[in-house]
Formats: sequence, structure tokens, C-alpha cells
Amino acid sequence: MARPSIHGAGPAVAVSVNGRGAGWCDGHFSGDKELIAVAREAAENGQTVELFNCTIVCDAATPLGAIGALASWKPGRTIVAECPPDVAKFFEENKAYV
Amino acid sequence: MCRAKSDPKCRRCTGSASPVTGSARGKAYHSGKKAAGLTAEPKVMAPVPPPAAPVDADTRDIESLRALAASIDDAYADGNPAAIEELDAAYGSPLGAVRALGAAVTSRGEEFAGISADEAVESWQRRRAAAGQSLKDTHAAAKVQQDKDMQDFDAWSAEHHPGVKWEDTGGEGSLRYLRNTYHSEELAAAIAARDEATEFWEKSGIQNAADQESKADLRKIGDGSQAAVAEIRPLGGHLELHEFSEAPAALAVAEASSVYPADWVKASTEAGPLAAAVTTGRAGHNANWINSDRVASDVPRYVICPAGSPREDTPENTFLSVEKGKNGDQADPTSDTWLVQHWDVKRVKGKPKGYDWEAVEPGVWRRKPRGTISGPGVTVSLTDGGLPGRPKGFAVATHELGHHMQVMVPGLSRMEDDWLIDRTTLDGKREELVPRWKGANEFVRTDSFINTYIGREYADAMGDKRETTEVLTMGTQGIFGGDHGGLIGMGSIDRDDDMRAFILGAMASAGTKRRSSSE
Repeated sequence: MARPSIHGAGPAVAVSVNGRGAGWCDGHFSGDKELIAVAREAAENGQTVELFNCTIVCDAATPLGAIGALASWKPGRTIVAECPPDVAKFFEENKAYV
Repeated sequence: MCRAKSDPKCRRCTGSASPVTGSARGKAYHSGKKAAGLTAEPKVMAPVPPPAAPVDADTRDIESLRALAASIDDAYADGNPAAIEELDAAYGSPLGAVRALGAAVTSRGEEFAGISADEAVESWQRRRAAAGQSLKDTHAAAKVQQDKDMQDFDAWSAEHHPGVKWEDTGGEGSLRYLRNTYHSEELAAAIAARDEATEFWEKSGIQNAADQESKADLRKIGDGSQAAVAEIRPLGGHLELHEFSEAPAALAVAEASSVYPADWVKASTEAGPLAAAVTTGRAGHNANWINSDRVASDVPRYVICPAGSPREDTPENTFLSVEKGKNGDQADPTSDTWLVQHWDVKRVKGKPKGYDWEAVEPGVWRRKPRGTISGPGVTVSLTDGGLPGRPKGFAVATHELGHHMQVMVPGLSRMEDDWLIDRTTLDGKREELVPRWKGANEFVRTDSFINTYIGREYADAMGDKRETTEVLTMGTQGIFGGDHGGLIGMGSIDRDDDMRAFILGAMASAGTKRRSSSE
């Protein structure tokens, strides 16, 4: 079993886009190189992304903004594999249609 | 403290990064790695099959297209073995026939539109590249002019104030102040140009093909597709809406009905009125009832109030006597049984949005609680940013009306299921269902759909699959409403020719037999 970390990190997010995976935690992107290059650029520019019919402003400081940034490459093809409960709640409450 | 700082001989890290940073990086890495295995690389987009005879003979041969549409409807709505055999022989399967018919309609649609999907996308890409280049150029020009202004100022300063360094001065009117505020006319012009280019880049929607020109092109292509389907069968007609429908939603739904085949609209009208209501939340369709802002629930409830207990009216509750049915103030105070009328109350300065709000006192508004309309209905969110000439909420109304049509048109759901199964089956095995986000109750098969929602699979409370899919709904919302990149690859959305052909093929063929029998 891995030794538990003594230094707490914040919540992490992870997305899968076209079979490529990338994650974010506390401002750090990691994973598929192309995906995170696009994500960093989107976060820097504060790009707006439509994900799950919610409008998200990309950034590298918040879990929701990071998901937006990671999804900016192909928003329609994004699956969010890991996110904090408040982000899941945001998606649930902001769906535009069924 | 990082061990590297307390122990200089430690070789675990350089000590330059904080341990929390390292921990975050590790967490991001492991999360990303886990996500990578979640979905497989999608299979290659199924190409649109080359239209086989009679479609490829001449896409202008409308009669043969109509005959093909009728055969498809026979196969799907009735399961007619002869029709299935005929389509199997000519197109490989009834689904192949839908795709081929759709490919012909798509091609005709682009002729009607006067612009092809490729041209529209290229045109947007050119505009975006030009806007991006303008952004870079104006930023660079402003920087060059700014540097030049500083050099000019320094030259002027050296000539008029020899031996004085601007860095050493301060206060209003000082050289430092003058240098910082010095703007030549050229610089002012360069900054104005830069700001204009920046504003256009950020606000025009050019990055996501939401600019006016792109929307106009999407509208043309949508109208062209509409005209191409209309060549095969009439579209639109009178859609019976419930009398309590809300006007903005009714407008959007009525406009949306103009893109659907007349047979489908007629089937809806014959089945009874469709209610349309506005929602500020999630839009939806329900075959049995919808909550509506228009309908007041005027049902007071009985309550037992012990004699002598306070029964003062409040904005939220009005007490009514059982005997007289009047305000409680006039009732027998010894009675124990009362009726109470509940009110929805809002405490806002101006009149709240919606129907029937009345002022109780300054800043307090009330109305009877909203009720439900029984029967099929759709709720529409009135989103902005639609295609030119379309009412607010048109794209969403098109989506929701599509769900209604799935219920109304025989064979349509089967057609959608066929396509969905074909797209999400690889080597004889269906793709796994995955939640769209962690904890979501929406499960999808991702395939290579332009939006994973297209692969949504519904299940009822018992886990049994429901007939509804998101194929027609997402397709018509894209083609006619301009969302999802119009399915042609506008914005950062991929292109899906196969889906576009299937949607137009299904619209041209499903429920055609009904028209023949009713005429």
C-alpha cells in the first residue's frame, strides 16, 4: 500500500477526451501532452467553453475552470471521470435540456 | 518542511518546489492516468455509404426518392418483409437506405442553400484566422509604437533636460510623469486598433463560430436542408398547442414545428394539444404532464386550528372559513376547521417575471401556486444567441419537439435505435455505458459522436431501457438550430456527415405511409 501523503493537496479533476486522459490538481495539469497544452492555453486566455450545456470560463485555479480548460479541445467528446461533488452538482443543476 | 531544506544531503528533490506542489502534481498525474483508460479511442467515423441506385442515378429524381422513403417507412413502421428484403438487396439494410436517402437530401440541401458545409467551415476558419492575425498584428503594432514613443520622448528629454534622468524624477509634471503619460497620435490610434481587435476576438463569438456571419451560414444550410426534405414531403402545418401554453414557448415550438414533416405535426395535433411552457431551469419533454407558470392551482386546504389560536393572514397564507368561504376575519372565531389558501410569495422591488403576480404591500408580491397541465408537453429555456430570424429558444424547442415526435411517429424510434446500435457496436460488441461526469445519472456510449449526449441511454426506475434516444433531437437541434456546430464542424465541434445524413434520411422517410393513407 502506498504511503499516505503528509502534505494535503486540493481536489483533483480528471477528464477523458477521445480516449486521452488528463488531470488537474491545485493549478497543475498532467496527462496527455496535446490535451494539456490546449488546456493551459485556454486557461491563460480565459476561454469560454460550452460543456454539458453549461457555460464555463476556463482557468487553472478552480476545479470547474480546469475542467472547462481540459474540455476545450473537444467539449462534446469530454467525459469527466473525477470531480468534486460541488462541480457535479453544478452540472446537474445547469443542464439546459433533456 | 521539505526534507530537502532540512537535510542538504537529501537527493529526493531539489527543494525548489513545495511538497504540496509535488503532491498536487502527483494527484493530477494519477487522476489523468486513470481517466485515460476510461474510454477507448473511438472507432473511425463511419463514412457515409455511397448512394446506391436509384438515388445515385439523379438526386433530382424526386419520385424515386419518394418511393425509397415509402419503402423505408414500410420496413420500419410495419416491418414489411418484402420492403426489408428489397432494401437489404439494394442498400445492405434498411438503415443503409436511410443513410443513402439522407445523403441525397444533404446534397440537394447544399444546392438549395447556395453554400456547402465545406465552404461554410472554410469561410469561418478564414475569418477566425484573420481575426487572430489582426489581434497579433495590432498588439505588435501598439508595442512598436509605444517603444518608438519612448525613444522619441527620451530624445526630446535629452535635448531639453540634459543631464536629468527621468527615473530620478517624480510627481505630477515630472519627467517620469510626462514619460508615462506621453501618447503620440499614432500610439493612440494603435491602441484603439488593438482594443477594437481584442474586443472583436473576445465578444464576437468568432472563436466558436458564434459570430453573425457563421450563424447566417448555418441558417442558410439549415434552410437548404429544410427545402430539400420539403421536396420529398411537405413540412410544418398546424400544431395544436394547449390553451395554457406560454406565449414565448409557444412561439418557439410553433416555429420549430415548421422544420418537421407535416405528417408528424398532424399526428401530434390529432393526438391532442401539446403544452409549451417556459422554464428558467432545465428544458424537457414529458408525455403526461408539465409544470406551467400559466396554470394556477386554486385548491385551498383544510386545516384544523384550535379555538383561540392565531389565525392572522400573512402574505403566504389566507384563512377562509369553511362555512362562509370568506376571509377568516369574518368567520366564526369559535370554529376549529378552516381553509387556508397558500400563496407563492416574492419579496422584490419590481414586479417579478411571470403571470398573475399581485402586490400585497410594497416590495411583497404573491400569486396562487403554479400547477400542472396534464397531457404531453415541453418546457423550453429561452436561450439567446440563436440563428438570425429564429425566435428565442428555437434550438431547444426543436430538440424537445423531437422527443414528442419520437412518441408520435411509428417506426422513428426503431430507426434511431438501429443507427445508435450500429454506431456504438465495434466487432460485434456494444460499447460500455459510462456516466458523463462522476456521479451523473446520465449514462452514454461515447463512440465518435460530436457530443457524447447523442449516445445517451435512458432507463426507467426498474433499469429497463426506454424508447427515447437523443439522436433525432440533437440532430435537428444542430441542423436547424445551428447548435453542435450545425453537425458540419463549425466551432470546436467535430463534423459528422453520417449523423447529418441519417437525420435528414429519417425525416424524409419516417411516417410517410401515414400521409398516403390519410390522403
